[in-house]
Amino acid sequence: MSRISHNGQLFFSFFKSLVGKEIIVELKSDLCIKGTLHSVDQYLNIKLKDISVVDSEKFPHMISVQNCFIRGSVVRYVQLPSAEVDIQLLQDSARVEARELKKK
Amino acid sequence: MPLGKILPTEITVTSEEKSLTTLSNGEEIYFRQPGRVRLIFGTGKDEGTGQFYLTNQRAVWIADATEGEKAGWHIDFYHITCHAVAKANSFDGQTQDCIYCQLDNEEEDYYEMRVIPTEGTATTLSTLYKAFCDVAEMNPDPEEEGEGDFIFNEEEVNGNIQRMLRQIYTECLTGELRHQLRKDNLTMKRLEGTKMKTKKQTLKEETNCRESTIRGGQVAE
Repeated sequence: MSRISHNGQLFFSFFKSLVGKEIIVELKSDLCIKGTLHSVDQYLNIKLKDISVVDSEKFPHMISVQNCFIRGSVVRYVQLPSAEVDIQLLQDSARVEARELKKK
Repeated sequence: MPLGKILPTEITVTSEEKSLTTLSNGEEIYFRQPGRVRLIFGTGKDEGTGQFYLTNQRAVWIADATEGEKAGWHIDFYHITCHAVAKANSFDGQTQDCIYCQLDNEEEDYYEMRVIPTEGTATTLSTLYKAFCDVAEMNPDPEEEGEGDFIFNEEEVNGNIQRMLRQIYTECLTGELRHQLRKDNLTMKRLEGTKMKTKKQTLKEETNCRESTIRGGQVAE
């Protein structure tokens, strides 16, 4: 995921628009963390707060976790709140970014 | 250092001499946790108490009690994949709040690490958490060389697929798809044109036919 940011800032901007929303982050280690997106940076490192659901069987220590920092490169999937995603805007942005990439 | 190797690395007495004095080029101490800090790996490999530092490149823990040449542990920061504030819980008798870390380590015993300040308040922990976040942001993943030329493992494959899909998606949206759409539109127009022409011709032919029939009729009359 972090490599994508080298090609453009679209995903970064997109995730920034989801700050304050509830998302589920699935790590490459199979750990799923549900929480409120607190912040995201250019490497798509994700900070979550008010964490509620984690795989407590595999990672018992995560039960008592409230805030966490996730390295962008270990994120496998991010589940988004569908009501919060403006698909039309995302498509338009993808077009603009692709056009800019072609110019380079 | 390649990923997936045994991490973190042990510090020996000779290299660190019971305090953090050996820093590599460009490395500096970013944060020092006041008081003693307990370090636990995995589900209960208690290393005892010691001093805890964050440099701008790694996390370093130096044991109070040395055992032979072992003096502590250090880990390059980009191997810490996730860190969190974990409250005291009943699991394996953890009675203090701590910083919980996951490491990109295949060695199961060293997959998790807990950094437990033995003194201080909740503020102590949030300060330490913030320092962890700061250093993590200073240490993005190192660039992998030859990336894209070879596919090494599942992660690489997934990464490549994701990248390709995204590329295809953007290309579809912009170039190809629009081109196709324009082509389709032209074809549609042409088809419509043909249809209209045909209709007109048919009409004309019909009219002609009718006219001649009428004329024929007139002639016949």
